[in-house]
Amino acid sequence: MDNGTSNSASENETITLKSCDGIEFHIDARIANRYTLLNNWNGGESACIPNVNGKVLEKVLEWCEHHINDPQLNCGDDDSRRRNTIIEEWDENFLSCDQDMLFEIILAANYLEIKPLLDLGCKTVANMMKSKSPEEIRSAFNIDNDYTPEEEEQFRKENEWAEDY
Amino acid sequence: MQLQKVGTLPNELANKILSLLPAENLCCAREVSRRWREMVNEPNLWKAKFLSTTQYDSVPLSYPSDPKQWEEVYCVHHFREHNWVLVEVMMRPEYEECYILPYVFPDITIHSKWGTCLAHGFG
Repeated sequence: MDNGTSNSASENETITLKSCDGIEFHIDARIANRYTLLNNWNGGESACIPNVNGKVLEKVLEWCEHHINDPQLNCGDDDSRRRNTIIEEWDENFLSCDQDMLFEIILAANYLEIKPLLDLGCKTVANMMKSKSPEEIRSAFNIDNDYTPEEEEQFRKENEWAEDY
Repeated sequence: MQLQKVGTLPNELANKILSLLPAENLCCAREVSRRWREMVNEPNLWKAKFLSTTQYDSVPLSYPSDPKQWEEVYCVHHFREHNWVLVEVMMRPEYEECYILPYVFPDITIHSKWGTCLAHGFG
């Protein structure tokens, strides 16, 4: 496939991507057009995407397909969109997967430079931490408290400035 | 997972996630564990918070000499921002009565790990 002509990809054109564990995906060429890195892996007979397995790639591509008609963001929009933590319903359902998968998706989106998906994953994790006490964060995320009681007390005091509001 | 995994993410990504949280949540996150404390104490996180709260300031602000002071610098502006939020609420039409009153925001004394400082209100 000639990358030079892919900018004018039509609706029926498909390309093939292969995950690191050898699973092939035939996707709408317009998806690869939006994301440079996907495009780089486009077409080659044995080209496969290292670091991303089939299960994760399937999810990532599902997201890309759903958002294929989204307007492309410019830098300014991106910044304002990035800062609010509102998530669309479809995206929220999409990322209501198990947390291992959520983190795999974040890593894959980062690796493949699919910025809107990366932002979405980060927002989802941030929302999971919002308004939680340290103890609630620990139990939600199964984290061991490795502080000594003295340290805990000391650090709690250090944070008091932010607790008044 | 084990949001334990937040701690295993590359720093750049952990930073991205934490940068979406308000300061109150960051301070809670810092109390979770040593690794989380390390992630929250990253000066760039506080620097970004500071720069985003002061991006419309007409007078350029001086940067702290030691990057570790970004949190302290941010802390003072945190209170300033809080006062602005109150002003904005007071200026909405439904608060007209309050708005007519010469509303005075008191100066706030902030007790923090860096000692005590005074954040000016709108008097």
